Amino acid sequence: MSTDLSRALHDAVDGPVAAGRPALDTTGVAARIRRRRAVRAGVRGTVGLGAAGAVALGAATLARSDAAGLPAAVPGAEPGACGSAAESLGSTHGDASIEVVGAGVGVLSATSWQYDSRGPLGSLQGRELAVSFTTVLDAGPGATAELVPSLDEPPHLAVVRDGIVVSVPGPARRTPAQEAVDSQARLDPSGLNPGGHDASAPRELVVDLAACGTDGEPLPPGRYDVYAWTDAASPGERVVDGPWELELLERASTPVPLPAGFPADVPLVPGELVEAVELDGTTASGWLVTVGVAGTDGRQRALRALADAGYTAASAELLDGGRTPQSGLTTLLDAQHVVELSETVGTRHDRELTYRIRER
Amino acid sequence: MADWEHVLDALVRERGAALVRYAALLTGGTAEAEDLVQEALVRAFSQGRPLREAHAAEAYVRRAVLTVFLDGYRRRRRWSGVRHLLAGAETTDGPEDASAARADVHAALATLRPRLRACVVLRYYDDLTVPEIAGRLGLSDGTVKRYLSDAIHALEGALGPLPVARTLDVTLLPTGRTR
Repeated sequence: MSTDLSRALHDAVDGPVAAGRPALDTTGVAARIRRRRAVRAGVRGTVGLGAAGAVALGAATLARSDAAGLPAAVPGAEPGACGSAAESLGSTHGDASIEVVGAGVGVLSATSWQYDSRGPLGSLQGRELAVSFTTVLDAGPGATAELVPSLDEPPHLAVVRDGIVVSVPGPARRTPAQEAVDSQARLDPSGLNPGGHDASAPRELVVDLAACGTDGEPLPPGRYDVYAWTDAASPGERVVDGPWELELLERASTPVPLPAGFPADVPLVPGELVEAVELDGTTASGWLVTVGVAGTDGRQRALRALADAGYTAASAELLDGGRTPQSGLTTLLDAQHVVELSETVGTRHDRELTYRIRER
Repeated sequence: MADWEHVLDALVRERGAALVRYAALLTGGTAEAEDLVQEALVRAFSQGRPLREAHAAEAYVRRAVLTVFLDGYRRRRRWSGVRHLLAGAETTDGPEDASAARADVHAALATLRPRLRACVVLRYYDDLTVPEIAGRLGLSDGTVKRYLSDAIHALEGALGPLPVARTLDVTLLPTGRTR
């Protein structure tokens, strides 16, 4: 017997449909498309409004608008460089891929941290992108090998809109949460991590999302695609993966209204105050404050604000290979206060951050 | 309802099943194929391109299916999980049976590495030439030829002789293996 391969494939695709097979459900698909199109239209509208404003306000504003705008395509740009076409990155030659997981987008169950390595990297108010990387190699039928890229040579990232690279984030550095985890690992008296870090655990890194062609101007709100690539996993061959969706939100700046007596040296992430309780000392003293925020990067922004105010990591839970779960607890301190920060998925907000504050 | 929604409805109603089965050639499973097609539909219809009629949209969505497929590590890992379903090298004699041939082809395709599988689908379903496949996948012509040669060699192990496939519009490169 011989098989006509072309005919067999056409039969497999275009042959009669089996009875009873339900049609493809497009309800959710149409909703996702509407949302994406709305975001794109909104971005175009914002750009148009900015251009009109520049005409009205004169040359100085026009120059500012140009500086804050996203770059156009640059013919001949190196693949992955500012202004290059995303297509120029090509695709992986071989059976290697890169997993990029956004911090704060997974779901922590009772026993594990679940995430989708193809899922969006998150919706961010801030312009720091926190991710963990894993390089995956196909090691033959039914087997894969996972490698954790060196912190010194993490994969490169390119942020793309409308097919053009508009931001080349870097250099990567550890997130405050990762620094807390590493700090605890080095001090771990149990001996479970005698060398300090668990080399097989993906590490959380953070990069700044600055627009190409600007002096560090943050990327404007909108929906982007992120690509990752590395030359390290497979010598001589570039490993390219992506895209992952990334949504950048308008940045909230309204400070949280604080009750009288709240310690002024504890910066809270901007958002809506859900609860602020001054503990009366019966069982504990200090403050318990919960702030609701939009986006998935509330924890990252809260930790950054504390770090910028001089707080340093004291300890952190080390869960599920060092990745930071949503409900992970991070403890930071300065000379006067100890702050324990935790995060949950809110009912009225994307995330709710709870600060437990006590004097040292 | 916006224009694109009419096109989406018509496309899914008329060709949704075919798109899923096209994707299943790549994924090896219907559930994964439906995920793949849904993601491809989102990408294709979110771009603002004027997809004004279902036939043109189908070709565009099929391209998106391939892109999403090659992007997807998780799916790639699932394929690895189904490789044990290899039908084996034995072939059965008997009359031509289209449905049996389809099942065999699915099982045989599932044994191929993702890029080889993509090359086979582009060559023998989409009827693309080697340079067109190379352009689509970002590969050199020579790499595509090698992939096709390796793929046909492997498929013949499961399906028996593939005479039409051996009449490629390319010169197949020797793989160094004997049969």
